[in-house]
Amino acid sequence: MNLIILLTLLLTLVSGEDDVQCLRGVKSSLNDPRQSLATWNFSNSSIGFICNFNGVTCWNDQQNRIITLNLGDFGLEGGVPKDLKQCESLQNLDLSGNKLTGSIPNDLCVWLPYLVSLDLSDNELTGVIPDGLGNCTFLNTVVLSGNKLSGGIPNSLTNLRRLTRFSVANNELNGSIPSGLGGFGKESFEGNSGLCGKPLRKCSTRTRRLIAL
Amino acid sequence: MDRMPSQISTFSLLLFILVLYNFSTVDGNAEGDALFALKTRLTDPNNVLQSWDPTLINPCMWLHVTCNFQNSVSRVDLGNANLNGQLVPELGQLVNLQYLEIFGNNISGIIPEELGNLTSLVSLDLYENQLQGHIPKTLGKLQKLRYLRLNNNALRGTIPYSLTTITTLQVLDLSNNHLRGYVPVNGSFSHFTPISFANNPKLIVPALPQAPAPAPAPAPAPLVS
Repeated sequence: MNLIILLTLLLTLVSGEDDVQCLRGVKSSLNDPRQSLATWNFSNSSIGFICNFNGVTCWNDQQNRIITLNLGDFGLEGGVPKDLKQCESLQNLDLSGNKLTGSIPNDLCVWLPYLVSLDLSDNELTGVIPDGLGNCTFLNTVVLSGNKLSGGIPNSLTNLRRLTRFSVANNELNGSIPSGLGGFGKESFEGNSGLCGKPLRKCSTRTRRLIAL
Repeated sequence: MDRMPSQISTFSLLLFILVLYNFSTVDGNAEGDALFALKTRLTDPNNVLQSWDPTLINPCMWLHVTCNFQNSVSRVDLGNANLNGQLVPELGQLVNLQYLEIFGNNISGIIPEELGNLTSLVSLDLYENQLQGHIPKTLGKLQKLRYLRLNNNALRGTIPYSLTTITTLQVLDLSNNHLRGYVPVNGSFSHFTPISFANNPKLIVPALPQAPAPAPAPAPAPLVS
């Protein structure tokens, strides 16, 4: 049994996964005025010690391997942390209700290919919804509402065949909604005056021509 | 002579109370018996089961056993206890069991299908042992299960489709076994990725899901790129 633990440790070293480093990086790159990450203490590193950190759920308590990171409404400020890429086994990421700025990283799905649920809603994110998001093929839930995202909704999102919950409401998006996403309700898209297409109003010919470019 | 009737009635009363007392502790004893059956099938070099005394009224004072307010077993915590031996079907009698934590031991043999009777179970942690045989399809009856961790064993056979009906599953880990066949992607399994099934050489893990997304999103229309 100890051999299994040793092998798993070796495997994580080889694969580059390092969830401790991931959390260290997340903590240091974000501003945390409410001290929501105060329990994230890295000085005493026993087996599975990060599993008790606020907002962290591990795959099991015998390993520092995170399945869910829920930092919703923590009052955090800064950009989506690059160190998340070391949390390779992450499936559920909730950073909603913070004051995150900057854009959604195009490489998010290279960092976290196994994401099942992504909630970045109610932040201050700008820029476009990256094409690369379509590479997170296991996504069931994508919630990006309540930000300042601009540009169009990338067609690549129709690759997300497990998608059952989707919202980009209340942003600054424009253009035609990809037809593959037309099955979602109006509430998934409202609050974007420039968006058109099913389930919203039909796009005008002018809009369609613009998109063809 | 006059005292006889009163002595008999006192004796009868005492006997009556004793019988009642016995009946009131039958349930507690049944659970103690079930756990004691487990103790008999396990080898325990660290003596972690030393306090498991079957002559007590119920097992609630035994170490590594937790009871609820009705003196019925709700948790068994035997993780990393250096135990050898096998699990027993009697575990299925612990009807109020919520947490079965027997991870990180040297336990061999099969997962008893009777564990499917533990309908209050929230956590089934048998990971890091040497369990063999199949994952019983009866585990699909565990409709409150949140954590199913059977990783790092020697389990064979296919993954029962019944597990996809457990909508409460938050963590599923079947990695590092000898499972084979196709990985289901429907029901609750849409929330699980290759991580949950890694290192099962004969298991066919879809890199991309096979079924189109369920309602409300329709199947993607042909795209004009």
